[in-house]
Amino acid sequence: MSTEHGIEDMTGRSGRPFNASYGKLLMWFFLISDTFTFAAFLMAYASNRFANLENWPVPAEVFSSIPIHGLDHYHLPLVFVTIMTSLLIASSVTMVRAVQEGIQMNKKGVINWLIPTIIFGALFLYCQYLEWTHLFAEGMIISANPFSALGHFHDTGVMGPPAFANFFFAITGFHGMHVLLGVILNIWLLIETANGRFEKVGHYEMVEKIGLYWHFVDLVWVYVFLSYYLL
Amino acid sequence: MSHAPYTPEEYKKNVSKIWKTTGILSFVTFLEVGVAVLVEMPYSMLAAFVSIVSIIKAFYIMNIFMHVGHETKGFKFVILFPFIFLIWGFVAFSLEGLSYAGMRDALNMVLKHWSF
Repeated sequence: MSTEHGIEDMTGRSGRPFNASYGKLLMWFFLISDTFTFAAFLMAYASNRFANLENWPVPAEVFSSIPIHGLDHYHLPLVFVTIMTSLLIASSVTMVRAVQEGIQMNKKGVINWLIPTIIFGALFLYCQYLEWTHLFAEGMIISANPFSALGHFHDTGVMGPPAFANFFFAITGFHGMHVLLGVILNIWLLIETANGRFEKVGHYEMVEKIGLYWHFVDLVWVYVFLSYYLL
Repeated sequence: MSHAPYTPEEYKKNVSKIWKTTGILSFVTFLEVGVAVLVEMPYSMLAAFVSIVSIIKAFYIMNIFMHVGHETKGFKFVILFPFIFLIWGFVAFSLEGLSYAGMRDALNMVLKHWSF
């Protein structure tokens, strides 16, 4: 049996656990541990949210407009975050196409699908930047939250639970860091693909591994979106 | 280890599967937002609806995009088993929050009527 990409354990046996390569297995282990980190964040959020059920802000009122100059006075609840979600799904799709072209050993195809993946990821980060600066301007910072169940502080004179702001910046910030890392990895992947590194190695498994990470970021967003914007 | 290249039919089938999944994911996202914004319903019903829809989304992302469907049985088990604890954790922590709120309100009630 070939030990290429296999694992040799302490007893000297070698093989491929679960018939998967070493790199892919380790990526999955990392993703599972990362799942637990995000789950810890979201569980802590859930307990805070249900402990403040009556004065927790309504998401459709906090995220009620598109934070772009000129569009911000239209009442369009959750439209902006739907655009952000679509961007992440789109980049996930282009990534999986790049993986498929990698399996076909089609260098040009990998490059052509990696470029939109990077663009969509970067656009997502830019949207998050717009949203955060918009919220800062509204007076929402990590330690203070002007949104309560009744509305904004300007109209009601009541501050909302600070945990809302706190968890929002922590969770979307942590997710944003993952997107940023993904974009950096994808740019590296694009450069190495263009250099012909994977063609020389004989396979495009690196595209698959980074693809796994990138889909995971999309998967986490599904749950951040669910708990922060919908419920 | 990387796969052997697809045959032309396999390639066509796999590519069209991706576009179909894209359609499903986009439709489900718009449905979720539409229901959350436009439909008036009790909070518990909304929570149940978006939770079920999100599990469908997670299933498509993991099964089609992350290729979990093509891994061996043991690998699938290793990946999916921990999620049982996570679901339990979400339920437990949500109930913990509700219980905390109930106790806090009860205590406030007592303190309000306390005569020093």
